[in-house]
Amino acid sequence: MASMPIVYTIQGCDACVKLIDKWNAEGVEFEERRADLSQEIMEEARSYGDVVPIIRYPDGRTEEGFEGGIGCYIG
Amino acid sequence: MAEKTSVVTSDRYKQGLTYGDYIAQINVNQDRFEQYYDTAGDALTDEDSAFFKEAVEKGCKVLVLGEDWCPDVYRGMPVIARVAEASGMEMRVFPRDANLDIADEFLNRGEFRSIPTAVFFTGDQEYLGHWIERPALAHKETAEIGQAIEREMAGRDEQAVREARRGQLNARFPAWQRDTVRELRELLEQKLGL
Repeated sequence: MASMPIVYTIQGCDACVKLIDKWNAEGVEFEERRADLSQEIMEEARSYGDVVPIIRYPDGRTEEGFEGGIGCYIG
Repeated sequence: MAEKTSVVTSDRYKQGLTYGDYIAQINVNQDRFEQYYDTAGDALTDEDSAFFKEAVEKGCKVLVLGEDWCPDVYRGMPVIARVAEASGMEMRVFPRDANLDIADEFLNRGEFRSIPTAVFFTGDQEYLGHWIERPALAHKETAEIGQAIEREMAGRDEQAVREARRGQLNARFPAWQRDTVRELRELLEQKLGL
């Protein structure tokens, strides 16, 4: 299991940008995986949810979307 | 609105990609574009093809905004490609995120950069009308399917719920592709007086 959150994003996703801006401002360490750049990552993201941003926390929890932003459907 | 002040001039329109060139440069979902291009082959009747040919005779051409990661795009854009192929209509594709000025001219409910968006023009680049995202039937049935799954699978594992929802939505797409053709026809019937 990864030691930091993994966030699946795509370019042009408002909610993804808001989440990453927030985490950057807070100094949160995370790994971003761009689902629009590779089929492998797209399938990985789709196995965890339908709407990016999709966050996988180190404890196994998954969250979809982000407060106040328009997530993008990839399902 | 668009019309004479559109950022899509004749020269800009010509810079768009053909459908084939667009598909050749996408990063993801190539197989899904192919799958829904196949099903879209059944979406047009001979009468639909004749109708769109008539629209082309009146100079109609189409611009499509899209992104390859979006399910509405890999399901909807192939329908528009089929319409273009069946009628000889010129079609140019613009990736949305590299063409936000175009996207901002055709916002969904004045707010959202929804895709796919198909914009019809005359040969003189006069704006005719546009169609956004998916047919009304798809919006209605997506909501109904989502509600029914939530009811029937309450408490079940999230992944099982997701797969069930995807399966039911995917099964409806051939019907939604036919409805896309119907809505595109209605739009052009009104705008071109056909």
